[in-house]
Amino acid sequence: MQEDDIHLDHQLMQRISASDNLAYDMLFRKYYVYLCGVVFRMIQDKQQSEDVVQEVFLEIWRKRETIEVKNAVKSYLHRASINRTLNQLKAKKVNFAEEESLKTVVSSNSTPLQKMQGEELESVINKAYLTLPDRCRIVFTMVKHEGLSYKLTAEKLEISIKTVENQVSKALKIMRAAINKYKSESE
Amino acid sequence: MIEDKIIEILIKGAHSELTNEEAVILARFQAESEDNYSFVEENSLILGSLSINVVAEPALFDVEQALTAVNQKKDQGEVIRNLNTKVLTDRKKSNFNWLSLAAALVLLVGICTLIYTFSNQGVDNIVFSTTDQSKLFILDDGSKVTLNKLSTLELTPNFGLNLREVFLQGEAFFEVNNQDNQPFIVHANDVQIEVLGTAFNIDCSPKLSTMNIYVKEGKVKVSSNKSNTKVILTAEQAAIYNKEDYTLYKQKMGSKNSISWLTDSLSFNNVSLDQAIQEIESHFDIDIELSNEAISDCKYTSLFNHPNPEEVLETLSAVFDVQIVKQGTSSYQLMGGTCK
Repeated sequence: MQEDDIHLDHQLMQRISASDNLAYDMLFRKYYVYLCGVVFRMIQDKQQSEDVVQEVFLEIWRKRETIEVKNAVKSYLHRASINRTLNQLKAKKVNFAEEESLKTVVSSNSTPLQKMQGEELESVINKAYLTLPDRCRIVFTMVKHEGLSYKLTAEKLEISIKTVENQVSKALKIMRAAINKYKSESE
Repeated sequence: MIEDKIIEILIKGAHSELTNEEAVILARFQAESEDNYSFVEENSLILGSLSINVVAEPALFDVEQALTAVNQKKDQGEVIRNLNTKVLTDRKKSNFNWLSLAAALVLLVGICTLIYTFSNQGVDNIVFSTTDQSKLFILDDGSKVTLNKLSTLELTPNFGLNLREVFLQGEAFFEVNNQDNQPFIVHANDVQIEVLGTAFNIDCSPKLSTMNIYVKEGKVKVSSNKSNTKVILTAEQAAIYNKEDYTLYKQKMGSKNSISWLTDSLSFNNVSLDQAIQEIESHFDIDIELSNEAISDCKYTSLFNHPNPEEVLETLSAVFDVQIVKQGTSSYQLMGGTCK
């Protein structure tokens, strides 16, 4: 049950605060892969993803005596991982703003999507997702997967809302193009 | 532009509720033209098809290797941090000279040894804990402790020297060896339970607002730090401590079912149906609603060994003529019935 799980996690955190190494290992094993996935989805780099998540856990150990997690531990870890990823990107001076201005996408040219097989469609779209340019993918992930508003995304990445809109449109455009290409190839 | 707004609304709609305003904007946009309608359909389709689940290939990440690396850094990090602070202050005082370096090196060795010793000391504080199963542990003095799920028992370093002191979080059943002049003391929250030799159960799970102590055999003294009260319990007696208002009192009648988690049996001896239901709920972690208030006081006697919920409810049904309605995976309603 979800509630029990949240409760279990809080108990683990309590024991970690008391320097219980075993509890620490348990928490690590429980969420490591999940968190790596969250970061990887954004930056598509295995080594960096692992570095980020490991740093998150190390930080928890360092401040174990004072740390206080109010809501679910999983959410806390999720947010911490995203924040650290963004900080790293900022440190590397990754610029999320567009180089050229984009025309806002209007789909008047594309035909309505026919009903493709659900799994097939998913597969095509997810592959297309992987081909998104880095910055585009990062912005899109924040909005779509992390569920942040355009406004909040803009604040966190220190860009304008307009840029967020452009990057999201660009992502959708790329994915739509991938679908159309797939359809035309399979006809 | 309006299309951007529409996309923003679609993305939001995929994971949370749209406001009225947003829903209206979307509906109006769709209704305006065929193109608009297609626009919404297409983008919904794309957004809907993106995997919510993270990580296509979990095998990509090696957990054990990562954990080993992190554990190494955990200890190193503390050494280096301490060292950095010390070396920095040294440098501020004097221009770099060899004496300082020597001092820093000695300090590094010193810290390493210190950390090493501290880690060992940590191991000396014996901690027993459980996660998803209950487990029996035997202490140095021969006493037996069965910890229920999600519980922790910590022994003080000098357990067995003068006192036998332990700290409990969660629920445990103790069978304490009688040892003259060596009282066995359990600390749970701000309550101490002192025993000479006996068998008793303490339930102080964090999610409960009360702590329950049940004695199977022997005699215990329960006292609270926060309120100057104490209670003495003998066999088959129980006490309840309220964590919120710090009241401690003896229950009129202790119930053997306090340790049903341990014995895996439920026994009812002329208890009210209301009470029986409470204990059945607690044992199986289910919800039972008694619709007919009139039968809540009916007396009930029965014994179950290794029961499952259905079996117990069916028996109730037969005895009291109630109808059992299953509401969900762990929720039941009992309707109608008479005392007989």
